[in-house]
Amino acid sequence: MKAGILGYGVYVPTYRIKAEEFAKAWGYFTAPGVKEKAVCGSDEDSLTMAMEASLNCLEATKIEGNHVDALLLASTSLPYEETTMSVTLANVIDAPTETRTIDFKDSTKSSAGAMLCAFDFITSRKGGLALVASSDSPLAGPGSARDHPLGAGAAAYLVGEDAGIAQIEGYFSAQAEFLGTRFRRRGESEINSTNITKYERLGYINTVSSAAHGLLKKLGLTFNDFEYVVPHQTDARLPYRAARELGIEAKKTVIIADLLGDVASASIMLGLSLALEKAKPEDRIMLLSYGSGSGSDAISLLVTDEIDKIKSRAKTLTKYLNKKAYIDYVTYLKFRGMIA
Amino acid sequence: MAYVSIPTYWRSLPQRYRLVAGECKSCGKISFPQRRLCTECGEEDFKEVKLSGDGEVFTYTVIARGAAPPEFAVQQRKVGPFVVAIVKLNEGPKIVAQLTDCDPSDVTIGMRVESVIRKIYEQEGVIRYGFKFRPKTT
Repeated sequence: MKAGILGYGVYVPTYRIKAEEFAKAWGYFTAPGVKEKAVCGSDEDSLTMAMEASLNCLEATKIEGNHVDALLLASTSLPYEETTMSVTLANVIDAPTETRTIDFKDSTKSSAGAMLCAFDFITSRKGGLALVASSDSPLAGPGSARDHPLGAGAAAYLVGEDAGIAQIEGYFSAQAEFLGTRFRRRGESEINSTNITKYERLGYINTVSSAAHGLLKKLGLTFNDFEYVVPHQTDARLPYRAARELGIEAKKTVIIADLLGDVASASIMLGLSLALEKAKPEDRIMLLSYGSGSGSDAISLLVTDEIDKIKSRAKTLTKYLNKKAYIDYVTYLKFRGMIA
Repeated sequence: MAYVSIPTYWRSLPQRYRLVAGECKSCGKISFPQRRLCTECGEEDFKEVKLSGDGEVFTYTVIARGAAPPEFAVQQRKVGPFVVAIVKLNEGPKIVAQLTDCDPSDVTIGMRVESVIRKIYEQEGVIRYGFKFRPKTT
């Protein structure tokens, strides 16, 4: 019995800031290929974004919250270091008392970790429903180059025992320690990193490559068998570079960083929603997570005939991308809590 | 400073998170938040219902700079003037709530709105989440 994705929902904040605003403020903008990115409003955070994505997911699948058996919330930027925020989420979606509630917060690969747990949960129980909510709004110092790419967004997926709209075909996880690539110490709210470009790029490409090749070997497939590859992305250029080194055609690479920036662990989940918008039955999608540390999970999804049913019901990423209000750099600093 | 204790806030979470209301079993009037007695017929037997969150702006006021209570000072510094409205929900009840994701100048009486769960404020280190309303575009 193979678990599958029954449906999904996304959320992108209304507020956007253009790369030009950073260039005006600093004289430069350091995120290659990022044209604009989303910004949480003053009353939003990674939990509220997860709430809307989750409610959208339940609406699209026409499933009530009280049927959810597990609620897995993945984020690197929840407002509490300690407290189970998936419990708050469970109460918003009206999940029952016996719902398994777990927060996945380790790094930008936490969403894939949650997704894999959801698959295993459904497979071992031979049924049930697991909602994976992935949401992020990473923070860095206002003057730092690290802040430039950071965006915001959320995506939620309902996993069940049906093949649904996309069946999980297989997965392969690879771990390889590359210390200092992106980290945040306890008590800190801003991300940190070595800023050694070559070292960080090595970590990303090597680890992702390890997971991708491991998956291909396990399933007896090649990249030719995949229509879409959704790599973790911190900007809109590095994923193409990784694709080139892996031997993946550029047109197969799904990019969301150009309009959303670096959405940390939600980046592959938002990328997946864009792939699902375009996918046809029997298309294969490969997700490639990457978490500083480092680790990568390669997940293969096989799109089914049900995909078209969801397309008309889901509030797609494209719809949310088109609903926007631009803000200037000062408003950005205020909304991010960097001033005020 | 207005102070809502954590246990008091906790008691209102079903209303704040899921818009849980009471439907009078005798006359069908929706009470939100649910009261002891139905304001229409005086009976005290209710059925629990979840409201849709859809409604319209009945009236509103703009909380200008410096006018917000202290627990909303940070929000005011970030956003400037913001709107508090009385929203008339589709099911009948009128409820006081903040509007979000819109400029005060865009608000009109009768404007269609939908509920969203957002950070209302923070106090004693605990974030209070609950509903606000934003313009309904679809």
